[in-house]
Amino acid sequence: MKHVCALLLLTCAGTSLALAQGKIEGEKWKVTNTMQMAGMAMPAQTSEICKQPGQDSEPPIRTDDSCQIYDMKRSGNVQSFKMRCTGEDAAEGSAQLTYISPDHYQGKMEITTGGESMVMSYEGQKLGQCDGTEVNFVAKKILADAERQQKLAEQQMVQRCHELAAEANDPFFLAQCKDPADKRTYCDAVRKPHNFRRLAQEERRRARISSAFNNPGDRPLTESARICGFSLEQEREGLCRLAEQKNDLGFIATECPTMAAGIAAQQCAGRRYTAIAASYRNFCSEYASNQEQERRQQQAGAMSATGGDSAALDPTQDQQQDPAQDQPQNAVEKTKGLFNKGKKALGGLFSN
Amino acid sequence: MVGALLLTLIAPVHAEAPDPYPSAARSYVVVLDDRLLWQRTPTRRLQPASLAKLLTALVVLDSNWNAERWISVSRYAASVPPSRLGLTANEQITAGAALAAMLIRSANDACRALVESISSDLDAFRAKMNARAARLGMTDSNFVDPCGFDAPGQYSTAIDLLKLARAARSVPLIAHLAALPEAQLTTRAGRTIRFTSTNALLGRLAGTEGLKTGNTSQAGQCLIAYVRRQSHDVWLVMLGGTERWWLAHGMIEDAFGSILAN
Repeated sequence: MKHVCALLLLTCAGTSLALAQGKIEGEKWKVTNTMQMAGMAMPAQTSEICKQPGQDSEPPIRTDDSCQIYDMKRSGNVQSFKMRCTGEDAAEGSAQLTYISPDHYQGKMEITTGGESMVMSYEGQKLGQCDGTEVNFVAKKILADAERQQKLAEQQMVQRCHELAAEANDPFFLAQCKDPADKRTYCDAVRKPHNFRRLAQEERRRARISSAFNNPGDRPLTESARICGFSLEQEREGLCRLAEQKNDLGFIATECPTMAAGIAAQQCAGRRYTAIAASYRNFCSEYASNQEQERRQQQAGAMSATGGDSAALDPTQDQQQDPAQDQPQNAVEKTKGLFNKGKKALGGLFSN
Repeated sequence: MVGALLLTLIAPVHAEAPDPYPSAARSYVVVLDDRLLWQRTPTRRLQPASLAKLLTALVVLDSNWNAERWISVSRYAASVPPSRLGLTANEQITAGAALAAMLIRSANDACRALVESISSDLDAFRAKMNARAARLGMTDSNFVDPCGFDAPGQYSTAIDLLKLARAARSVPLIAHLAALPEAQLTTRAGRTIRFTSTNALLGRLAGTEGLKTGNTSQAGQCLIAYVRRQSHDVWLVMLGGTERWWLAHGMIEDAFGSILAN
């Protein structure tokens, strides 16, 4: 949107420039100023200004929009004036310029800002004529504003690119980012276990609900691997080894199927949800969810220990599948335990 | 108030949502922050099992509710099948204790005693339930047994039960009781009975605040879960579930995970 605004302003500026072909000539001055402050001298800055016709009494120096020149006096070849700036960079200044010739001046301005004083030295040289109509000035100002806005938008875009690269939500923003560092940042971030897992989970989530899996937008991890130039499986293997070292059960549950199956067999299989160690509860739940998804993919209609079979598990009693670990085991539960063992043997890992 | 409630509930009914867990249950809905996230045959008519007790609770609270009132346990109430507290005939408990046991432990003996204390005519109570359901906009439901035992002609849907659950949770007493992992009551004779919640997610899945479980031979494993984390909340209504707790846990985590991913 900001780009659009900037473009509109540029168009407006172009129109204004076209209107300015009437050519009322002003004076073109080259002004060099040097600032000295607290014993330091800043490098000289040179700019060109176009002094408009009818501004004969005003000094040919560049001032900010927030500054106002007042109390101007001329005595012989010496021009003096004061300047007041408001806003964020509030300042007060007092200047004296000496015209060595009608086309050349030198002078100084003492400025006080934020309790500190500085001295600005000026030297101006008239270069010739310029297009000094008011409309031209307005056009230049619009153009300058548009450029400023565009620059601001670009800076914001650059900043947003940095942020998105670090967040590593998907790789598709990279097409809008010019800084190659963003790609490096993104590719490093996406290989971190929590980001890798998040993107993998999102990819699976979209695969489950999307009928068109060929859409790259639905494969943020696969596309990341392609853009960043790494092998998904090798990266996953490496991260699984790391997860094993760090006992990162969350990562293992969803990203390391072989490793997860081993842990699930030890920690989840045949156990009730309520009887599981708290440290394995999320692991077992996530593993169960993944199993559920795989089951769906592999055998939609095939026999499994799920679905309507669950009703057959339950006698007519309401409590039987609820957390009965608090209750002594009755005959029904024993039967169910045997069923669970059978279920496990059939590949169903979990007991409710 | 009712109008506003209906408005918030109607929107998801007509929405289309994917079914990423097709074998998790015969029917389910997952609602994230009032947005229908996932669903499976959400308008399929199924036995509601003990989820019906939420409606019973609303009807009881509408009927000159007095939590301190002593109610007697009939011979019939003492003989109903589990889940139960083990109340004996002629024992007395307060109506408040019966309501708590019905919602927390899904105790059928407490449920039956409570219903009998409101109306000795089961048909009359049933009529009150269905009238209340109609007021909640549960257009696809018919309740026969106040405690949720399977009964011919009894049915509800995941969508309707979500309406019921939201209405029930808007009652502070029900919301409070449904979030308790355990409680105890004392009979008039001084017998103390401790009971734990049938909702296995309480205390095990971060942010779980209720709400009700159910399980019968026809209904299968049923669950209404409400989980709140920071400024987000998830409702899960599951009818005819398979590995109920494992999958409910995983589905709810997945629902919260989908926020982070977007």
